[in-house]
Amino acid sequence: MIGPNDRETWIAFVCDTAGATLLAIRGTGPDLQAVAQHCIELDLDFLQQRGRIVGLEQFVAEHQLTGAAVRVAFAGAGCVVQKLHMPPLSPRNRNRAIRTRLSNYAAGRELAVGIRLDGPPPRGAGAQVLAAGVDCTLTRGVYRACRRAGLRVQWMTALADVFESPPASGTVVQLLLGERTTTIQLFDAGCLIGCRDVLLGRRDFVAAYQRPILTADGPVTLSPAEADALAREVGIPVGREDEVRPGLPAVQLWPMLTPVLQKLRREVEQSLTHGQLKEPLQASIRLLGLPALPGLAEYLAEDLQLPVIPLAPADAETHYLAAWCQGGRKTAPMDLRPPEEQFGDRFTRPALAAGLCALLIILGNSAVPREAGAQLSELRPLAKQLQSGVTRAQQECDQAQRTRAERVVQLHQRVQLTKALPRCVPVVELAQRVLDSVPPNVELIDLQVQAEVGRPALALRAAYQGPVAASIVAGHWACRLSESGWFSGARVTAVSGSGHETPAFMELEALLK
Amino acid sequence: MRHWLTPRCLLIVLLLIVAPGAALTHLLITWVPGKVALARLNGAVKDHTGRLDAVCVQTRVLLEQTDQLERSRAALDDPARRAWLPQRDRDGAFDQLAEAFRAADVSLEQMTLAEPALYAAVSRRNLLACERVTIDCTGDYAALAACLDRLVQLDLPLRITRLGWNHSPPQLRLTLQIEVPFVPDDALRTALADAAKLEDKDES
Repeated sequence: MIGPNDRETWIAFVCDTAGATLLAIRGTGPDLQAVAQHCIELDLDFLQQRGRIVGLEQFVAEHQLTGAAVRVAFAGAGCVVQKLHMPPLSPRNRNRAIRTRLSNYAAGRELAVGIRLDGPPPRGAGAQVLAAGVDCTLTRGVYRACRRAGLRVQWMTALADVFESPPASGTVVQLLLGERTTTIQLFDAGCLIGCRDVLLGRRDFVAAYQRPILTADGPVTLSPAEADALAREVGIPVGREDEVRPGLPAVQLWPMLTPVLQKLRREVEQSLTHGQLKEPLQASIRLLGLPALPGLAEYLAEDLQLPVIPLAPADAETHYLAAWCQGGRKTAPMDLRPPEEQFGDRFTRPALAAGLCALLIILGNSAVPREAGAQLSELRPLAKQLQSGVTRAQQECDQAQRTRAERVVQLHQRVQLTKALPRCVPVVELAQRVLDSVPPNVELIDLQVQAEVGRPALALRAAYQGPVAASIVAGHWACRLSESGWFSGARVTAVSGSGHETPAFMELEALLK
Repeated sequence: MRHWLTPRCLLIVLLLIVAPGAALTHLLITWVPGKVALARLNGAVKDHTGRLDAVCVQTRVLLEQTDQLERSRAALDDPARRAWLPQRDRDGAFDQLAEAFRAADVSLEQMTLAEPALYAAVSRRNLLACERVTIDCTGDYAALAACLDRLVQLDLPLRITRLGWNHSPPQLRLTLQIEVPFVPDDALRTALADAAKLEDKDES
């Protein structure tokens, strides 16, 4: 869709350092039409100080254009458009170099620079760049004035960038006839190769019509409205010999128009001469403007011996409006807005994204530590419990070790004490054996077992009366005791008598093993 | 420069610089301490776990050693119980010995209990004392032999240090000197060690 819809109005704002032309556009496609047009003077100092354009707010209020989109194009002395061949540089250095070059041609301390590349340059080769620069004072002032007037600035660019190449191939000289300035564009094979602004516009032709015209009835001076209507309807009376008005032959217009036409012709001729065209004599002339000036293209073509691209005045106006509505454009226009506005548009989305990310990070980062803190608060008592359990287990382990050591010592002592126990003699069994071993005819009188100190010993005292000599019986008894396995030795210590007639007493002693 | 001081530019700069900075700062002041606390907690848990493992190993070793000790103690307790009394039981020992000689055909003429004496000693702290009982009784052979059998079968650790078997018709006299070992208390242990002039020595 080319153009605004029925409910919207776009404003084409052509601006130079001296004045501005406002053009309200409505409609879509072939129904595009300029609903209002207004020219205002521009006091740059006033604009800079007050941020206001005298007459703009009245124009907006009069035509109820509050909130309309404004498309601003700069032309004239405040704007410079150059076709530059740049060596292979990084984008940053290339932009710096372009800014430095443009500052030689444009006034102002600060430039708003726009760049358009003719396709991506080959690797290691330079690039053809269409660069435009405008004094930031002008762009900033216009921007602020538009916003103050309740308008919405869509883009700002150079006027030469608004109008692209005509559909015809070959070399084309395209004239954009403005109110104060005329922009001369040189296209070669559809590519803009040169551009310059001439301080000569439609208003100069209207002013020429207002000069006194010699007629048969005497000199006639046209009012500004009559002159404007004449310029709109008649334009340049090429090939006309009739009367353009009653009593006003067309031939009488030429003396007033010739100086302006010759000036424009010289400018076009100079542009062709210095435009580095391959075939300057084959260039076609095309004229666009609103309102158009009929016959101007034909005059220049005839005067310069060049072919013309014929356009009816209505077609020239339609093409003019369509160019403002970006019809058929492949690329966006160069951005000549103030750098702070460019910065704002360029970084609004990243900033919002960064802020959103930061917010999400903060929110997410606040949620995770809260959960972690809750988990930590749950874990801390467990850790303390674990620590106390470990400590208690350690204490129990130490206590168990001490107890074990004490028990080991006790057992060791007990073992040692067991080893140190005195020798235990089975005294009763021993006495029983001794009693069993008493020989016949022998009566045991006394048996003493001594197992307290030293080597356990046995003392026997017995009486005997029998046929065998007592000493022999005692000896045999000692032998039997010795052979019993309990004693290491037994001996007879005393024998009194033989025991044949009276009892004999015998005493024996035995040592236990 | 003043042209840049618009609310929009300031808001963009704020969002582009301050918001990420704030997020980063917030991250640093919340995430890093949390990480540190978590690391500390992890360290504490690891430390406790390591200590717990060590304690478990020690406990296992101790349990094994305790089992061995219990087995050793069980193996030693029975001989020790038969070898000496765990503590002094003067009346109990006297009564049991007297009971052994309480028979119809036996006349218990004398039974004396002397002061405790040193029975066995390893060191001043590791020694045994004993009750010294002297028994003098008369009776026939069978009754006295039965008394001796009962004496031997008493559930009392004892050691007969002297036995006298005197046959002076019409009766038989039996004289016994018996020692009953026991573990003395500290005072008695000290007194016995001093009397025996025992010296302290390392038993380990």
